Amino acid sequence: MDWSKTKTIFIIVFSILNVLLYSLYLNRNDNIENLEVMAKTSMEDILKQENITYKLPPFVDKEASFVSADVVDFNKESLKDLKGQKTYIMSDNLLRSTLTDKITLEEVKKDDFKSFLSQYVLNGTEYVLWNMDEEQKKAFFFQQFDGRPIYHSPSAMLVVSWNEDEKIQSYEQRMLQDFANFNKKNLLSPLEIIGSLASRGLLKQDSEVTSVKMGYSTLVRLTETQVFAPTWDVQVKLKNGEKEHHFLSANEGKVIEFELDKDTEEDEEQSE
Amino acid sequence: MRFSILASGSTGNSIYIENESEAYLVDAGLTAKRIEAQLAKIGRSMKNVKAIFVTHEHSDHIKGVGVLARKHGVPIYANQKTWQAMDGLVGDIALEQRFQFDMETVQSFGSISIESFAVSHDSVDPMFYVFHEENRKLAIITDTGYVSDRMKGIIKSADSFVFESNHDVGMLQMGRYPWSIKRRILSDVGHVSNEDAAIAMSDVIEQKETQIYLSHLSRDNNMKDLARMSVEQTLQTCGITAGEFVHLHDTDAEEPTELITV
Repeated sequence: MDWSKTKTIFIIVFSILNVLLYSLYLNRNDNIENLEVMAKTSMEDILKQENITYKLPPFVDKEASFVSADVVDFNKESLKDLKGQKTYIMSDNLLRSTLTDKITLEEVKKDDFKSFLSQYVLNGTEYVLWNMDEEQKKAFFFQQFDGRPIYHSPSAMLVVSWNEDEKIQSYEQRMLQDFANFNKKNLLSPLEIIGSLASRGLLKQDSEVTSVKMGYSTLVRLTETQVFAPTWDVQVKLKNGEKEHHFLSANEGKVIEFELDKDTEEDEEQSE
Repeated sequence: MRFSILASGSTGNSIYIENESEAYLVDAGLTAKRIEAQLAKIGRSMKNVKAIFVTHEHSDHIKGVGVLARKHGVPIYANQKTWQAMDGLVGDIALEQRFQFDMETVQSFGSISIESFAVSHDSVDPMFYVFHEENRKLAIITDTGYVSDRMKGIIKSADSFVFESNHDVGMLQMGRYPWSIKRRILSDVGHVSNEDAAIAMSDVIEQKETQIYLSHLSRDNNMKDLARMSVEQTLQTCGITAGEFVHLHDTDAEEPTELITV
């Protein structure tokens, strides 16, 4: 056998094979890039077709932690510094307060209730206004952790009520404490979240995504502790001017639906 | 007696147990290469491993069994039905390396006695093991849909537990798994949740220093901190305060625990 010839044939065959494999590899990469471009284009196409516009936040975190916190059991001692009101501990973790100071709605609305919260509510600066319902004469506030609201958690809400004369009458408060971060994970970007909503048909025609904000939603309720997952709040303005909120898990993009208006049993226990 | 959980979770499980003269593995659910790498991380090798005890035939418990048997000539122990189910999954294992470990029996290996007991899982004949040496006891119990009184009787009063704490029920129910898989995990032949694990623990812990390694955590439906919090708080409702004489520890799918003396 002529080894020299055999060797040459092997070298030629393997060189051709290498070139072939390299070209396959390049093709594959091109295909992947094309797919990514197509995916982006198709999402943008959907938004364009449906005339959906959006604004993206200028800076967003790429990762966020899960958060645990304990429900506060109110006690008389912790309420002793609250002035201008009568407080009642309805159950261990529900505080109801009736204002004795005369405060007008007009006054508190000027700064989104901020001065009122800091003056009259225990840890009031941790709460942020979510919604005002003029018909019910109530304003709803969510407790925040690290500047991010905890969406629709009955354990982290404050509801302020006013009367016919638009005087602040009372409030009900539930509160969390001892927050801790754990298990940092990558987040889906606001654009991916908008795309996810659009592809599920959850964004209506001619609507405008006005904001995408990060907060938390309840993941697990343990005996003492609650665990909250990073959550995107996508606020949408519809053609008729109405506003909608969509909440999505920031790690998985799963749509979160809150059980609202769930009644809770309350054991009355006056404390003053 | 010392042990290290080389890996724990649905991506692969293996536990290394040793005394002064010999060493054993319970399951080899990672590739042989990864088992060797995990052993190297704790300063050990397959050289001293005298046997591998297989719990059941799911791939996350037997992936490396065949290669390790062929490469290192190590004897493999399993019950008869598990051997039958493993055929075709682990490749050829020489007859002289195939040993039977019947359900609910005790076999002695040097100064260590190993006791097998049945668990409730969707494999042909699943069983786990309790290791006894002198008056010390290590109980390994994962991959079970519930912890029966019989299982509790066998694992009771161990000094160290490798205890399944697979999922949080809420996370599982809300999660992305298809309903059929959720139903399987929640069933009597699935996996034990954080809360159920803690309730079972409260029945088997005695008033003495006890180490509990929370194991086989679901990647999608649990988190280490959540499992610990959940078990801790459920134990608390059962009158046991973690940190007093019961100590909870994490396990990991990638990193082995340090060697722990039972």
